[in-house]
Amino acid sequence: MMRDDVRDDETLMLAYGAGDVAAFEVLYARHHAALYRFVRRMLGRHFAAQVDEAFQDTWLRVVQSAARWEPRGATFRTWLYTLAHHRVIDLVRRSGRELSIDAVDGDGDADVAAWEPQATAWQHWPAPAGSALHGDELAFWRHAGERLLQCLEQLSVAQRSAFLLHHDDGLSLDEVARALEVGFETAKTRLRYAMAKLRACMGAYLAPLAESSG
Amino acid sequence: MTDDVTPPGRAPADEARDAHLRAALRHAPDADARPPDAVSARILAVARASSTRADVSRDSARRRQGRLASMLAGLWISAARPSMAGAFATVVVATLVGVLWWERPIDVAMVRPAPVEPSAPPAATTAPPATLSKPTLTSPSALPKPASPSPAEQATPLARVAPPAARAPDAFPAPAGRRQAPRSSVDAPSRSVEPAPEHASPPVDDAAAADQRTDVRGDRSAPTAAAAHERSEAEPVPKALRKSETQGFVRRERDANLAAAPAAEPRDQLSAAAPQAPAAAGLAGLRARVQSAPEQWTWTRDGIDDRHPGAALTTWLAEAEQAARANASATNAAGKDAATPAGSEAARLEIQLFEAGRRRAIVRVTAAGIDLVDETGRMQRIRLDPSTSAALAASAPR
Repeated sequence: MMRDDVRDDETLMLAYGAGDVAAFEVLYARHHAALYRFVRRMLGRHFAAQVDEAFQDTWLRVVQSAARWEPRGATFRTWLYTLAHHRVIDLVRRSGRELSIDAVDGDGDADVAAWEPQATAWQHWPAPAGSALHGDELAFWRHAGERLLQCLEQLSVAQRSAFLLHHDDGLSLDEVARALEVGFETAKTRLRYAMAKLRACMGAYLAPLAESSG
Repeated sequence: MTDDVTPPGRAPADEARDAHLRAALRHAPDADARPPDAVSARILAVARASSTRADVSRDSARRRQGRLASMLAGLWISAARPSMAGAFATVVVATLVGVLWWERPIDVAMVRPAPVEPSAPPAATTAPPATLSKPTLTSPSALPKPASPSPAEQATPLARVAPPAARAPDAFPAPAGRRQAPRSSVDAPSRSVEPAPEHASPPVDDAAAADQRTDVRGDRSAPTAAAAHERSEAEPVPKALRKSETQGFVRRERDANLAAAPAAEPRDQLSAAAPQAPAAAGLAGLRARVQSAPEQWTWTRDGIDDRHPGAALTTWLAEAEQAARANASATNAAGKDAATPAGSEAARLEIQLFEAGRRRAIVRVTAAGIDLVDETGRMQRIRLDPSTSAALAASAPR
């Protein structure tokens, strides 16, 4: 694979649409890990068996649309996550589980209002940006990561996608809105409530490192 | 990244907590998850195959375009060859001819029929019905010859020969402006090949009306129309059949005339038809035209006293016509100077007739007979015995 290709995603996609297979390989190399992680976290444990299918279908949609693809105001990455989001929603709907994509307003307010984090507890957490993690710190953050994945499954699909796109994949709020095909304010609201839920979930059950170690 | 999602009124620690969430995501157990190699290989294989198919389809489209271009080029090259160009031109000409013949009567548009039987109407149809019953035209070659009167005709009294004015033969040529225009512009090309077809067009049913018309037609049409008229009266024939017969006869007669006088212009119908028409017909036609529109005509005797024609003049012309029919042995004196009397035959009388100020005819009575000069200068001489000539000169109006 040509992993060191300096062309941007849109140029590569156009090149692949013109028949350049190597351009697609570069695109795949750039985005396959993040996209796989996004799909996996979106589907959660309940749909772990469909992760590969959703991931593969997403890329196949890219392949099928390559000949007529045009950058219409959105980046390739935004479009790629849009395809993945659609595929995830299709899988969830096909499974028969209840899916409340837009049920974001108010459903987490009670939890957020009920929980008030203790400021002292957060202050004993290790620094998140620390590059050199010691044994206890590393164990703490791995535990935090496991807890966060559990908390993510408590979010609605809409809130989960907004949080993952914004915090995990680094999309801006505007790109999140484009990827989810919603308005900017809607995306912002979904993200706000998602974080409130996650904070409550994480703070209530993840004890500060000082307390747990002490 | 986190400013826009920090709820108002929150403690500053909320921003750090966002960093904590991100740190937790980075250290989640699935942070290093990758798609299985089989999935990646399948995706890449599909991508390569799709690109190959796109290339193939592009190549095939390019090949199709190239094939189409080569076909067009081959067609263009083959069209430039003489055989193909000739075939194309033939199709174009056939289409053009078909369009030109569209809506033309089938008997007119058809190819000229084979030579006809010699039972065609006589050339001397200007004669009375007794003469008409004896056709003299037996072949086209006989048309150009002047019809020589039979002994019976020579013996016919003047009063019996005199025809009514309405049935006078239209032997004298009509002015060019009064001739009928071609039936349609589509006929023009064929007319250029076969001149003067208009005098052949009156059908049998219209023959009577054509006789009543004041418009005087060419001398060649007169016998045709008259003969057709007589035939139509004698035997009731179906309309279509009579029409086709008449047109066929006229066409045959016209062809014969063209063969006999090919150099004559279409307008000079009198000149072209003079050899085969009796000289008396010219006088009859002249008289008919004068009688039809006397206000347009003036005449002079011996070059003086210009006046409109009256009954005296038409009566005298009728007498001259009768005398010509009774005694005539017309000779074509074409080429002679029409303005001066011929040689020793000094003119006893000269009457000039003008239509709309233009001289149309000169009737000159000499000791040898009558000289009839048409507007083109062609002269026909009708030989009379001296006594008849003298009597005719004496009876001329003054």
